[in-house]
Amino acid sequence: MKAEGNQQTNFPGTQKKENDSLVVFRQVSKVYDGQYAVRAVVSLTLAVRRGEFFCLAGPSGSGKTTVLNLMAGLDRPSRGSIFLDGQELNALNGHDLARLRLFKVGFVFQELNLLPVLTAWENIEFTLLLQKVPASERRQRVREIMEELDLLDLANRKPAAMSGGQQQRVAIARAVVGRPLLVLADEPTANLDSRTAGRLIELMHRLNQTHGLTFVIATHDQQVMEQAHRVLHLRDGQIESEFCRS
Amino acid sequence: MTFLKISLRNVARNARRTTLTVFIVALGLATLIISNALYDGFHEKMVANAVRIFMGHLQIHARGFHANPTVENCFLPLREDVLKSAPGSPLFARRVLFQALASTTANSLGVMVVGIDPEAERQITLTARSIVSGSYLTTQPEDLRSCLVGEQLFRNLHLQLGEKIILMAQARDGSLAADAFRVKGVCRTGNPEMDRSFVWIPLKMAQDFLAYGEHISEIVLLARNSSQVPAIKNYLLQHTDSATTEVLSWQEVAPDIVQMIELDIAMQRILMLIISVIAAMAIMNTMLMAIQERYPEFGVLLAIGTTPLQIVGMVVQESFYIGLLGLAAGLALTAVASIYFFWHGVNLASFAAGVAKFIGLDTTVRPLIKPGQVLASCLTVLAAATVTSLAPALKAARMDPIQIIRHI
Ligand SMILES: Nc1ncnc2c1ncn2[C@@H]1O[C@H](COP(=O)(O)OP(=O)(O)O)[C@@H](O)[C@H]1O
Ligand SMILES: [Mg+2]
Repeated sequence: MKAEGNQQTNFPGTQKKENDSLVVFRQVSKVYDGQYAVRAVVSLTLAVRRGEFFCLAGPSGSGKTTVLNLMAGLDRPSRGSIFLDGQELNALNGHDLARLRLFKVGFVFQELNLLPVLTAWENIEFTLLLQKVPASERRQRVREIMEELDLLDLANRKPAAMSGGQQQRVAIARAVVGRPLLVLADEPTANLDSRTAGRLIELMHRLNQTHGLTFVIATHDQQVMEQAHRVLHLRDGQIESEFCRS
Repeated sequence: MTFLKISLRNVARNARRTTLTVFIVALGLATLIISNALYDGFHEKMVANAVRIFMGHLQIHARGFHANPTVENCFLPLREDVLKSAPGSPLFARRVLFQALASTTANSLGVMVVGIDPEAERQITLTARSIVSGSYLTTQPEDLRSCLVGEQLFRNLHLQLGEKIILMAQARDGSLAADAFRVKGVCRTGNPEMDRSFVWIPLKMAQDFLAYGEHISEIVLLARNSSQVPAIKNYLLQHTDSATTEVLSWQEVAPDIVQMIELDIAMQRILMLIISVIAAMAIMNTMLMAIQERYPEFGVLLAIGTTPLQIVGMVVQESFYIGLLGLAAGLALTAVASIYFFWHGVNLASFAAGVAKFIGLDTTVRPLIKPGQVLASCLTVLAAATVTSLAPALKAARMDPIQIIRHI
């Protein structure tokens, strides 16, 4: 799914780099029109490499969530273009974007990730049902991921009977069971105590290591940033600083 | 399959609210079915009674008699074998009808005289059974100069059983006929007009009285099953000369009954509409509330790739199941109510005053449950419940997930 057409417009030096990139933002701006216009993201250019554990940091209101929503095609940029896995998101309609999210993106929110009427097992299975994975394979894959994330004890529990940390782990399982290319997590540890948060980060990190899954995590949690390959600090929708570990 | 599971569990999730909604739907449905059944029972009884009190299912006259029932309007009856081989071999009786002046020593009153063949008439109408004192006419020669009198007329003429009344009328040939008849029985039909003005005499006497010879005023027929009426009418039309004879079904003889039933049916339709709207509003309200409190859920669902159509399906399914529960509860309620009404009946005595001429004395109505009617009511309520849920469903599906996610 490499977008051949895009290469022609690239400068020779960036070509290799962009092919390697799972997500590319080019001069992306997002303005929310309301009583007064809010410039949530301002002319942002960035690239997230495949297999990267990428962290978006910055104070509240700096534009982290907006960037994640743009990456997932939940929101459209006011200006600039976004590529996910070589596809220009602007070229896709709502239905295609929904399919893209279903097959290529996993989501973890701060809380309330799970359907209250479904058990942990069913919540995880839900992604595969949407993907129309046949029943036997579904069972196998749900079991595998629950085993891997040590969640089998929770299989028959509904969210109300789980702790915050347990719910978040189930949410991660649901996000990755569909074998996405990219997992977006928006402040996944914000409601957890630091030990639980640490375990959750460890878990995402492990998935990143063992499966080469790309993670983009919006956070102000120092623990998360410590694990990241790269931390991008945002302020007022612009890059304030970039910190790279290699 | 999952969406079904999610919908069902959501129905169970807020048990109290679901129960209340189900109850409203059930009550609506039961009201609909029972009121329909009572109306149908009432209509059936009304028609059956009206037919059996006097008019029968069909009448044959000389052309124009129904509009203008004069003595000149008489005809020679059809052959019995022709009548007997009509579809479903209906019962039939010949009659002579004329207006007369009835006099006693005390009083004189205008009356309607009906010449009947006692045995044939007994098969068709309730006259024989409506005798409250004295006895019915027979074909015995000594009964030829006997008569039956409506109860109110009996009182108005200050009669006693066995006393004589003089009937006076103009015969077919223009001469004035008069004869004395001994009162043998008193009839209470429940039809005020008949009880006030009817006198029954043997057919033979009536024919002699009017110098009719073998002529009569009408043949009244009773089908063994009311559904045979159109076929019988067709048959009779084929076997009579339409230039000289008219064949009328009960609907043509008493169009007011038909109109009344049609009016009731229209009212029922309106009731059906109102109840469906109430049931639908109840479900819509429930679903709107349910969706309101599940905004985050829908936001997440949309974000992870659930399509708006799937969301719509989920919400609509949910109301459909609530509707189904309502249907089940409604049918149970209906069963209980109809057993009650069937056992006790509904007495229309007070209401019956207005319709007494149709209903007669039997004013107790029982529900008549028609499967088609029940099915129609169920489907109407279910459809209303499901269709109205489209509004909240679309609302849920059109939500902007980023607005919701922002507030998680
Ligand atoms: N849907 C929206 N409508 C209007 N303003 C918005 C909307 N979403 C975000 N914003 C504004 O954009 C800015 C960035 O918000 P956000 O991306 O949520 O920041 P963060 O996630 O870093 O806290 C904030 O000023 C916020 O108020
Ligand atoms: Mg945010």
